[in-house]
Amino acid sequence: MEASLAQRTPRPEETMPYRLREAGRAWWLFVIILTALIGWAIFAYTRQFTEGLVVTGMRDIGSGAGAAWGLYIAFDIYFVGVSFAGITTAALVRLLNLRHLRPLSRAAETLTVISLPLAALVVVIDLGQPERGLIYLLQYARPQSPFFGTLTLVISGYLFASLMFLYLAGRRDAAICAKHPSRLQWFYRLWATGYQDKVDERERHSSVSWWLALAILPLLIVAHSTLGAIFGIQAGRPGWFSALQAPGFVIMAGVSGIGFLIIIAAILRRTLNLGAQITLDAFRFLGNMLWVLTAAYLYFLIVELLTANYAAPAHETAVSRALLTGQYAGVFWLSVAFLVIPFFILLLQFLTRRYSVGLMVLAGAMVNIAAIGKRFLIVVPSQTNGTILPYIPGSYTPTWVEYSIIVGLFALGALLYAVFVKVFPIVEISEN
Amino acid sequence: MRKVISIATLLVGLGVATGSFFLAMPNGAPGSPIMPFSPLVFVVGVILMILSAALYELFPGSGRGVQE
Repeated sequence: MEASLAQRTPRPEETMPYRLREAGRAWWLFVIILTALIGWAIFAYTRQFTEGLVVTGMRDIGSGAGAAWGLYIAFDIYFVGVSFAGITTAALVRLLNLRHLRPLSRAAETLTVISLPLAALVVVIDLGQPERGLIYLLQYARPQSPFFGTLTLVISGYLFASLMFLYLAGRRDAAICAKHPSRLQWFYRLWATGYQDKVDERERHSSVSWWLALAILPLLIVAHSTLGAIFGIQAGRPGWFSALQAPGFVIMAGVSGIGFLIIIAAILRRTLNLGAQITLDAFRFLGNMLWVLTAAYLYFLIVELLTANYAAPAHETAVSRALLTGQYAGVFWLSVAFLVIPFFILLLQFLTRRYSVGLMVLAGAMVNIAAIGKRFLIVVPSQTNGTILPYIPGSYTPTWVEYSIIVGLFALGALLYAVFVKVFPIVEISEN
Repeated sequence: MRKVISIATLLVGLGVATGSFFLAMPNGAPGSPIMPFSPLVFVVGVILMILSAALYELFPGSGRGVQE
C-alpha cells in the first residue's frame, strides 16, 4: 500500500518533477526576448492611447473608406477560438475518459486560462476609450445582443470554468510540490487546500470534474456561437449575414485550438522529456480530430462561396469576389492552401496508419496561420467592400502600432506559459 | 452538509443568472435595462453555479481511507 500524501515526505535527493524551477540559460534568454517584445508593445499602446486610434490603420466604414474593426478584432476571435479548444479538450478528456489525452489536459486548461485574458485585453485595446467601454458593457448590455452572451458567458463560462478545472485538478500535484521546501511552498499549500489524496477525495474529484465537464460543454458552444452571431445576424452587412457564422466560428475554434495544442504538446514533450507521458497516441487522436474539423470547415467554406457567388444579392457577391480575385485574394488563397495541405497531410497519416509528430506540428502551425487569415477575412472585407450605400471600395492596412501590440500579446501569452511550466507541473505527476 | 451547501449555491446561482437575464432587458427608455449592471450580476450567477461544483469537492469529507 502506498502512503498517502499526508504521510509521505520527499527524500532529500528527490528533486521537483518536470524540471520545475530549473531555469537554464535558454529559458532566461527566451524570457528576456519576450519581455522586450512586451515592452515594445506597451510603448506602441501608449502611442495609441495618447494620440488615439488615428495611429492605427482603422478608419470609418463607407465615408472613411476603411474598416472600423481590424487586426485587433481578428485576433480577439482567434484568441477566444484557441481558448475554446483548450477547455473543450480538457472537458472531453474527463467526459469520455480519454486516457491518452489526460497528460495534456492541464496544458490545454492552461492554454485556455492564458489565451482568454489575451482576448479580453485585445478588445480593450481596440477601444478608443477602454474604461468607458468596459463599464458601459457591464452596465447596459442587452440579452438581445450577441455581445451580452459573448461578454457574460465567455467570462463566466470559459474563464471561470477553466480556472476551476485547473485549480481542482491541480490540487493533488500542489500537495506533492508543497512537500518540497521552497520559496513557493505557501503557493502550493494554498493551491492544495488541505488535499491529502484520500480515496473519497479522489472519488469526489472524479465525480465533480465529470459533471462540471458535462455542464460546461453546451455552455461553451453557446458562448462561442454568440461570438459568431455578432457577425452573423447583421442583416445589413454583406459578407457577415449568414446562418453559418456561428457554427463556422465553433468549428474554426476547434481547428486553431487543436492545432495550437499539438504544437504545445510537441514543445513540452521535447523540452521536458515527456515522451513517456505525452505518447504518440495523444498526437494521433489530436491529429485525427484536426483533419475531421478541417474537413468540416472546408465544407462550410465551399457552401458559403457557392451561395455567395451563384445565388446571393449583388452586394454579397461583391464581397466574395474581393476575396476570390480582388484585394484580399492573397490572404484568402493562402488561408485555403493552409487548410487544404494540413488536411491532406493528416488524412494521409490516418489512411497509412503512420504518424509523424513533426508533420502534425507543421499541420498545426499551418492551420493556425489559416485561422488568423480567415479571421481577418471575416472581419475586414465586409467593411471595406460590403457597403450597401454607393461608397467606393475601401481598404485597410494595419500599422506598426497594431502589429507591435499583437506581437506583444503573443509574447505575453508565451511568457505566462513559460513561467507557469516552471512553477507548476504542466503534466500530472504520476502515481509512482 | 456538503451536498446541501453545494446544491444551495447552485440554485442561488441559477436564480441570480435567470433573474438578471430578464432584468437586463430594456425598460422602455433606449439603452436602459430594467436593472443597471444586470449583465454583471448574470456573470456572478453563472460563476456561482460553477462554484457549487468546487464547494462540493472542497468541503471536508468523511476522511475515508488512504490511497491504495
